[in-house]
Amino acid sequence: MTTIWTGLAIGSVYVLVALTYNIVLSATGIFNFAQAQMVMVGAFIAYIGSTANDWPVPLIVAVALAVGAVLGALEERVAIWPLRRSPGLGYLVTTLGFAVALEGLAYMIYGSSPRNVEFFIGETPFSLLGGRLLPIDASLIALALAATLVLHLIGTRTRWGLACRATTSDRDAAALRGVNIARVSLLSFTVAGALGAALGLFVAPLTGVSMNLGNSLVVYSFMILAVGGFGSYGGALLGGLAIGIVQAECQRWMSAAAPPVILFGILLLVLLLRPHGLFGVRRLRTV
Amino acid sequence: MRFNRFAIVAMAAISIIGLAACGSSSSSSSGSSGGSGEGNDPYRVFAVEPLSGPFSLFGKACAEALRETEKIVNADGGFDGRPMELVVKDDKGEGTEALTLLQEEINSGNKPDLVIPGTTSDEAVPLLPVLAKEGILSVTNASDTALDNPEKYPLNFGVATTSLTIAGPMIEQLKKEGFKSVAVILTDNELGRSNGEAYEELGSQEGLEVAVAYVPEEAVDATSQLEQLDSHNPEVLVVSAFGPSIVPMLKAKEKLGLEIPTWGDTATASQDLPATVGSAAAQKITLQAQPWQVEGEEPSAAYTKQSKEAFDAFYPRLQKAGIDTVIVPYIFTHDTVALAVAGANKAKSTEAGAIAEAIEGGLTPAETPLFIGTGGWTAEDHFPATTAEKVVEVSAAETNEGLIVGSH
Repeated sequence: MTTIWTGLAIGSVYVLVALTYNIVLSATGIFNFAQAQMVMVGAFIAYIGSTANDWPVPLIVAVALAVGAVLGALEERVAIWPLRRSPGLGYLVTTLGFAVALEGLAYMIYGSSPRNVEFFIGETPFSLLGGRLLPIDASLIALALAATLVLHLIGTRTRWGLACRATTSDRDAAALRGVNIARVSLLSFTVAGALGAALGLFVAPLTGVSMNLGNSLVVYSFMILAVGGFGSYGGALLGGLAIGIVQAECQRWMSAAAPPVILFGILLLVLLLRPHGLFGVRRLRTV
Repeated sequence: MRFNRFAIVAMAAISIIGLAACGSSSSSSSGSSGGSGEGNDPYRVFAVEPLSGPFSLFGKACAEALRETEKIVNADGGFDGRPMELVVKDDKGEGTEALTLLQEEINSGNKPDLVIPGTTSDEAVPLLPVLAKEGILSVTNASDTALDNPEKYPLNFGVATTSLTIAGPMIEQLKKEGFKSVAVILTDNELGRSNGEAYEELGSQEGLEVAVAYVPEEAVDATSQLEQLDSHNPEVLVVSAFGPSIVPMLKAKEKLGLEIPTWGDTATASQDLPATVGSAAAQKITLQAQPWQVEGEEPSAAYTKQSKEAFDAFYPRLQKAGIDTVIVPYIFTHDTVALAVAGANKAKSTEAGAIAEAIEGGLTPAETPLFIGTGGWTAEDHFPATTAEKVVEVSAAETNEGLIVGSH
């Protein structure tokens, strides 16, 4: 059962990062390569607040939300907005450039050595249903479930969610119907940046804090989105938890080389059978 | 008559000019052959270091160490009387860039006498074939076992530990402590794999049961790997990891409640462990470290008086210049030059082959007054021989100006 809990915890980390990707995806149709770096920024804020100083947790969260929001908004204005009239995938390059810039900034200030952050709830392991887990594991699983539910409800039951779906479905039609496309884009990046940075407080105790943190999260988060369906919060949750369990079980019973091979094999199989992901929506396009 | 006189003067003039030209070209070609200068010609030391890029923290530390070592060497009389002249170039941590810089230096007419081939194995390995072909002496502080090949690279030496000398002292000490079943958890990269194979090989030779597991560099959790190791009922856990992957390793041990001692080898000790995993977690690990890494370490069986004196001459200079990372890259880089100086002074020659022969013949502490680390080079092994007697055990509470502050 410990391996199952481990898999759920690993999967929850990837799910939470994938959810922040989904916020931007579902509002703009854009895959933001710099999203995982927001988690890295939040991890450094957690280090500054908890290890280097002794800030109360609400202050750390507030600072992370604020910094993440500013960076998200800045990214949208600098890397996305100038390309709004250019067709193509230039935003892939610009968001990647923004990601590299954030990494470089972290390296300039803190260098490449990893740092330690302790979890604010505590680090004493406990047993549950026959398995062992740490407070951080339980928190991540609970957070992933709660965040998925909240974001799904916002996406399907609010005017904001409707505006986002309209924008990704047909940008011009949405604009004609009065949806402020610019505000949708800016707000989605801002919210995703804020939540991504706040997530750093939960990820850092597990992984340590280093400039490479974002790179280690982006590959599996992308895989979860591809398996679960881009834009689907529920799909991200189920795909992420499944991938986490498969990864943990493969690491437990097989060699270290096995998990990437098996996971990418699963990804290929899903994409062959359901190219839009398990819970993605198939769209018709006029060509 | 007039013609004859004119012809004689012309021929004399031509002869004088010709002799003068031959003289100057022969002196410039002897100057550019490298390693065969005479008298007070500077001994040219060419170093490529990652002054920019992801390894620049260590590259800049190594460059700083070389600058300070140059001052010490020249104050001590240089390479068999020849003053050291240092050139450092930025290879960005890339082997191809390092190779280009080396070729440019060789082709410039100022062929170096000694090359320090970078900080990492990625930089050093591509340079060795060229260095061997050009007959240039090199001393590396990288640790890939591919670098230790006296047959292929007879003029290349090392000062750092390789996989066998990382695993060797640990296996030796664990056997002395009475452990029979050992679990080793390592980072899943080239060095980790090499170390893991060394642990399995040496453990088998010493009659220990060794189980190894690997954790990816980007892992967020290592519980499954620890569970795998725990199924072998180990009596001790060895952590051999450099970088962020050590964090999930130690968290997983806490989670599973493994009540077995944790040891860290010299690879683990080469980082700022308290900063990476926290002081409380770092103090639970018994680290094997080089004696000069530990603050306040006094001469002992592991740490000769000569090494301590060499360290005491070098370390204050680093403190003045500013220490930006752990002490390991500074000392290893200093020792690359110190080894070559010792070889030159023993051989009473700066010719690369003579220096190599002198080093292979064995150097006593008295013959290596500037050298801080461990020796033991032979014709068969151009890297130092580190044993359990040459390292110390310490639990690291914090790091202060690059040194481990802890308790034995």
